[in-house]
Amino acid sequence: MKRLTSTFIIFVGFVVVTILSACGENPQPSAYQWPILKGFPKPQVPADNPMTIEKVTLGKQLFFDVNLSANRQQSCASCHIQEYAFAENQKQSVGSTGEQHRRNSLALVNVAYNKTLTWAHDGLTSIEQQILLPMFGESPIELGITGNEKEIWQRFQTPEYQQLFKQAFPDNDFASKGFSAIKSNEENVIKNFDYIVKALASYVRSLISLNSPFDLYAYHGQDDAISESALRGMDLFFSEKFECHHCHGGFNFTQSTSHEKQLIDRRPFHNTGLYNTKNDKQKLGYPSVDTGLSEISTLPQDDGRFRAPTLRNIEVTAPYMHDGSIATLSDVLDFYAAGGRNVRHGIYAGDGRLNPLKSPFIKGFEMSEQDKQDLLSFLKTLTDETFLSNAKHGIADMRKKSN
Amino acid sequence: MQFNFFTHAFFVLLTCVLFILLSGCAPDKKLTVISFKPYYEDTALTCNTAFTRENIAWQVEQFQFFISNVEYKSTKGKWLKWPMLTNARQAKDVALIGGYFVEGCAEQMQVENWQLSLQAIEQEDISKIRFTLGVPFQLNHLNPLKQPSPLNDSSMFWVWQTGHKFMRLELNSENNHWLFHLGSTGCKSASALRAPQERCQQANTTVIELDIDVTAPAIKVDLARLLNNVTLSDSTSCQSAHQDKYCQALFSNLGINNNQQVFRRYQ
Repeated sequence: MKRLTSTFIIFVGFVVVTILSACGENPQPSAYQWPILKGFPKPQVPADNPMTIEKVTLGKQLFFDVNLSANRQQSCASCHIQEYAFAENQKQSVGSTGEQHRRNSLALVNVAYNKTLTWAHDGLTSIEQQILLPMFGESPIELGITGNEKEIWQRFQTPEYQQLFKQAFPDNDFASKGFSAIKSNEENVIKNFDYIVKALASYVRSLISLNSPFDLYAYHGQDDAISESALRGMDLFFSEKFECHHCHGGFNFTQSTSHEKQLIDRRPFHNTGLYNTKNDKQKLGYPSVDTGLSEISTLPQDDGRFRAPTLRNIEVTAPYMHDGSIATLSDVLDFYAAGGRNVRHGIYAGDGRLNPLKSPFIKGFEMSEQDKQDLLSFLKTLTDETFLSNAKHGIADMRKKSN
Repeated sequence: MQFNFFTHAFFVLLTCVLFILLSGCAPDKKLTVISFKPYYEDTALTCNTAFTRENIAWQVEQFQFFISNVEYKSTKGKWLKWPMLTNARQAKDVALIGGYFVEGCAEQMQVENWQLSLQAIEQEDISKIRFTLGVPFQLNHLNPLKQPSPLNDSSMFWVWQTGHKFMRLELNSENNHWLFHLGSTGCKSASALRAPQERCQQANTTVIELDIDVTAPAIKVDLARLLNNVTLSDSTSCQSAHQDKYCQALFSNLGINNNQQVFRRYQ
């Protein structure tokens, strides 16, 4: 009996020591609080990259740092500018070496909820995968990291970054062996970029915009949060006549949405009748420079199919469409009212309205001037001013970083 | 003597345990799953199958519908609630049946997408089944964000005011599309994003009552019967508009204010 008691005491002592040591030197990263209403579904996050404030902080520094591009000309923030909802106000983006991109920079708004990433890829489901494209892509070159990994990694060997990396990845070698141990291991340089990717992805995931006048109306029940005109526009938006919500439905105004409670897989992509070129050898409607989902799926019926982007903050993300070929929101409404676009001149001439692969929801509709103003008023209620100006999403010494 | 008593007790207990285990493994006479089988006349619809109407080949792009309030008629002649199990496609006694026939079809045509999982009921107790095609009013106009799957599927939801799409059938031919979205209309509320306090003018739900073969429980859903008297083209698509004559034909085929022929015992 006596022996049993002493064994028990030893066991308890062991447990206590184990528990205490877990609370010892390496503080665990802080649990992340999503800035969402109670009851709102949380985004899904990859199991190997849980959200922490420390990773978001590191990711933010990296996002705004031109040292991430080989020639120090661009950061992620060069094409994803906060005042434009982390999109940019030009048709197509230009990479760090001046190479023209074929697509319009997507707004980084609630990307954490995206079912798929980029304009047209049904297999890119995590931000971690997507971020590799602007970082390492060579056609076109964006940040241009490929071939310059070692040099770029060296640039982050500053005491400030050392501290940020240690805090973001406390269980990794940064914390136990010190930053120099990582630095000296040249073979591991590419592997080290995984830390950068995870931190950047965490920052992008933190860009949540759910605080617009529309949200006050819809989810906080404030009947006076939006104007009479916006209310009329909202009813038009959700009507069967205008059909907007079939593709831009759900709380994120895109059916391509996923979250912890969304258990059924939906990955919608749509051909909106933007093009119907006649000069293509394949006889398919979209210009061969960008045929959308069919490039990934290789299926001809996917020609011209792109993911419907969120409409949150759409007011500030002009120009519009995958190639930025529509200048204003008013023009976009005219485009949908016409049921597609008739390109009259130039190499892409052809009547997109007659594109046989066009979504059945894009049939065109009659829209009075009042309807149009009301729809515009409604779309503007999706602008979240706090998101566009939130200092938390930016860094104070941005200017210094880019010099 | 004492030893013998314990040995005896042990064997009694062991026998009991064995009996319980074995009876658990006995052939199951209970009914827990009912499958739905989409057909066009006598052709089973699977991935990329087409059917012909007026010399035009049509392909089903998606076919999905909600059912709720499942009941079975006991052999004593009484209708009893038949509770659903909860899973990704079933919650609050509402089930989403069906899926996409083109995109990711193999995945979408998985048996579980086409079956109703129910609490086990003794086969011999069941003589008939009935259910509502649609979502009950009390569940139809809630904030979909706060609903469990499948009631949060935004592709099967219009807005607070009109609620869920009870049925969604979309067809493609080479040069044309046709679609049918069934749901409630005439719902009065302050805006699209406010729920009606009172029932909608046209609920557009329908109760379907069927005989059932308890040994192989399946329900055939015949699109040919659903599309009876409907000429397929862009201009005959139906979004449940009350006065639309094409919608009225579809409503009638589904048994909204009528007897339906679309759902039948599968044999």
